[in-house]
Amino acid sequence: MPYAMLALFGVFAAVSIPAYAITTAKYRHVVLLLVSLFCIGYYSPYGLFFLAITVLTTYAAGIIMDEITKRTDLKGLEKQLRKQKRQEIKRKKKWVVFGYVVLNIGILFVLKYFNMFFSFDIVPAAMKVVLPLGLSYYTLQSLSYVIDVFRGKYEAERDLFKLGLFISFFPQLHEGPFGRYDLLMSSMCKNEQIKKENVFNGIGRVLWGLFKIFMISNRACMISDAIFSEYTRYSGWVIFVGGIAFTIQLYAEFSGYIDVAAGVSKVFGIELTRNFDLPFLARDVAQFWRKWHISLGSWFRDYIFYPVSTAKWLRKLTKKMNMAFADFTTITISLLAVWFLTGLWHGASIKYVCYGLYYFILMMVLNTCGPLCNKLLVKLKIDRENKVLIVLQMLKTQFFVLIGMIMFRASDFKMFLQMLVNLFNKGERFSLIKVIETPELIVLGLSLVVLLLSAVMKMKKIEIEVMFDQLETYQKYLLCFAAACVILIFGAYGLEYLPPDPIYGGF
Amino acid sequence: MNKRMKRLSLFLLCAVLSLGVYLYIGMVVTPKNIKDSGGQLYYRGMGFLAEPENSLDVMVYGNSDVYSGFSPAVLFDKFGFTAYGSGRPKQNMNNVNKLLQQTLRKQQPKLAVLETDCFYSKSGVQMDTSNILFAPFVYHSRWKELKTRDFHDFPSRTETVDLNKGYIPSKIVCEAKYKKNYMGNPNAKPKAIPKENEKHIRSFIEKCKQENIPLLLVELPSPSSWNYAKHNAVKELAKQYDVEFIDMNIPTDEFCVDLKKDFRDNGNHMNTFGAAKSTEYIGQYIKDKYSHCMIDKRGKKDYEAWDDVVDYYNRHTKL
Amino acid sequence: MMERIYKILEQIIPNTDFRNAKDLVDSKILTSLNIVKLVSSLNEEFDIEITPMHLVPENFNSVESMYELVQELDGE
Repeated sequence: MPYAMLALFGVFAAVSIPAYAITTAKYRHVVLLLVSLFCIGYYSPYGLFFLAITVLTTYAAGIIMDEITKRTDLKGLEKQLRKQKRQEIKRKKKWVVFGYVVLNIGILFVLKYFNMFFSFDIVPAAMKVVLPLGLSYYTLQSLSYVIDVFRGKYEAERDLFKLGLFISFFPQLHEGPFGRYDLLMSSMCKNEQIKKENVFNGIGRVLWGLFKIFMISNRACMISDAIFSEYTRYSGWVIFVGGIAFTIQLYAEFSGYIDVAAGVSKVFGIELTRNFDLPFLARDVAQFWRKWHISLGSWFRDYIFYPVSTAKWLRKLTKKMNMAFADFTTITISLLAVWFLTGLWHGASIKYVCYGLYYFILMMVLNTCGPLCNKLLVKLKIDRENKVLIVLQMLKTQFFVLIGMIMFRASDFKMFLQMLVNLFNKGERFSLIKVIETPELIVLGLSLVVLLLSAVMKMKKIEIEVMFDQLETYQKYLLCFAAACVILIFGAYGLEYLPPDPIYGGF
Repeated sequence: MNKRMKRLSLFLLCAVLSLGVYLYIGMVVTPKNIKDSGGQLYYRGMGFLAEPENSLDVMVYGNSDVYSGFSPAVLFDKFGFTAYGSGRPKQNMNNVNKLLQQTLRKQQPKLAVLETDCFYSKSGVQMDTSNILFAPFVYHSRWKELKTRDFHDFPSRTETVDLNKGYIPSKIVCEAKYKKNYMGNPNAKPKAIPKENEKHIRSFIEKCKQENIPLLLVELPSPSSWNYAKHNAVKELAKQYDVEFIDMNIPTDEFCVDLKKDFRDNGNHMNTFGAAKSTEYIGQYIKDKYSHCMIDKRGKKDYEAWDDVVDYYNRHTKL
Repeated sequence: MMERIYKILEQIIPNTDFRNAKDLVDSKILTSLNIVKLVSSLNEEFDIEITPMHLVPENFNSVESMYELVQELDGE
């Protein structure tokens, strides 16, 4: 059931709010942990088993590394000796991280990619089971914790329940965002009593998310599905329309689910990380990925790009090359690692790997041509902050993003290539009215205007949330009620609407 | 104190206002006519409420198999018995019991027919599509087709007459890709009926006995969901409670389903051809077995409305 | 130690007046690629480990702050 997750979150939130409120502050996080475990267990009972492995190994890895560091007293030692000891500690800790990564990435890999790699009959039916809820999200999240403890960013968590909650917090399990321990834990550990302001703020955010999902995404889906399911018939601009519709669909759905998760968390006084920051205003693709699915992008930056690009072996490798070539090699290898893995994270199919590599190529082109373009701009005496230039850059970026989206949506890589070829062919006439009824189109248009207005407000630094928080309680209530009614009536769900599957839900 | 009163009254005002708005939305979007979208869902299973008092001879209860595979118009046309097919998708036995109780308030059927496919459907809470509290969720998609009458008329099941009498015709022909002997091994071990359902079935049977309504269990042809394991279980149950059971999945001289022609969706639901055939068979069975209490009502003055039913069927459904 | 940092910077951003600059990152003299190279050079030269948590503009805006960072990480 496509909306099952939303319903499940609603039910679990409704159950946990009173339970959370009546518990004493000291044990509130335990309530949230129990609810989260129940949520995972309800979705797939054996998911609890894998979660337990991850939580326990994360807990153990953190403490072991902490102990390794603490047991050796460096004070008073000679510098040379100090260094030696430090190397020793590091080596030991590295083994811990290595074991941890092998085990947890192994679980992720086996469960997630087994079905896909061996989609033949070799795999026993028992293996083809539903993925544990949130597996790929919580694995990366706990990995970031372990690596940060390794790097000494913070001390290991000694409270198993708190760490368990950090890994399994239920609103994040469906489509993320995956948070960082230091940021998330500080608000998780406050164990704040439920406050009226937070409740209304949370409900408001949930409604905003539902608005994006039901009013925009599900309707844009009607258009994109119609085009992508009959892609051989259409060509040229129709494919662009399909791509745009899918981009809107994906953004509205993904950010919508994130808003729902953030809203539910907010009720408990927990702030999740932001996952989107006006991505369609990015001036280049690199910036796009800093604004789109931020939690994923920053994860790959900190835990893949950085270690690879500063690795010793890479430095040795490039030492004898001339400087320009050394730069090129460094950047190529690091970016390749990042984007190959990003693609693979989305799914083990040629399409997703190509999707990753597509962005790799774009990044490479950007890195090579970027400085040249800047020089050209200086020569032509064009201001980099020129408005026309910015708009042109945004359009260029969105064009490349759009191509990426078409690849993302196509059912396989062959279909994507076919669609690319079709771009230049003449295809059948396409009429928007035939795939989506006029009233639906009008509602979609109006909802998009609302979305656009919110973006404009954000750009102008008008804080809608702050404005909302300052309202009287009854005003907040009436506003929420009115919004709920609009979504209730005009939302595209239920009778006569085919529910699309959440796109990022399976990752 | 004063401030507290003010807050309380504000709270009450908000509560009353939102409840009022919510119920009004529910009223507005609920279908007012069986032809409105969602109208089938709202009026289909409950359409018997709009029938004149004590005018129905046969009440058929069950799930989607009933509204696809049993046509009251054909029954009246061929035998003169009045019937209503109260089928709803994924119907469970709990709801069937509720429907029986609602029937008995206005009708005294001479015969109750229970389609046995729902014996195996999941029991549990189903969204009651007739409840106004759920109406905004269920029927909201009517926002596109709202007319002025929707804003001031109350939906009324007791006034909305269903000319198809619960039947939903479909002319789609889709070959059922099943073997002729899809029922499997005749000696298959009976597949146990879920405990919860059995409880509801028992109370249904008892209620019928109490009201002196003979009960007939029928399984309409459905290769995708029926087999001998289920058949044997129902047969046992029928024996235990001493009720009749006919399984139309087992070919006989009088009735044999045509896998090529009689279904609309690969052997789950029947189409118009299948429904006409199976209705005739059931009608003949009723005529033979229950002639002592059934009267042919064709041509009777009180039942002229049923001529329209047949007429409507012939015009719109028959090929 | 300062001199060794100067030497590294000379390689990475030649022909710039980094000795007196106070906003190497903010004024985009040091780009993200340059920082990556700088970090791996510093790591090797002083045998330290600069991790992403040290990657804030304040640590790289001037040679002095880089020096402090190296000191803090117990480099030689």
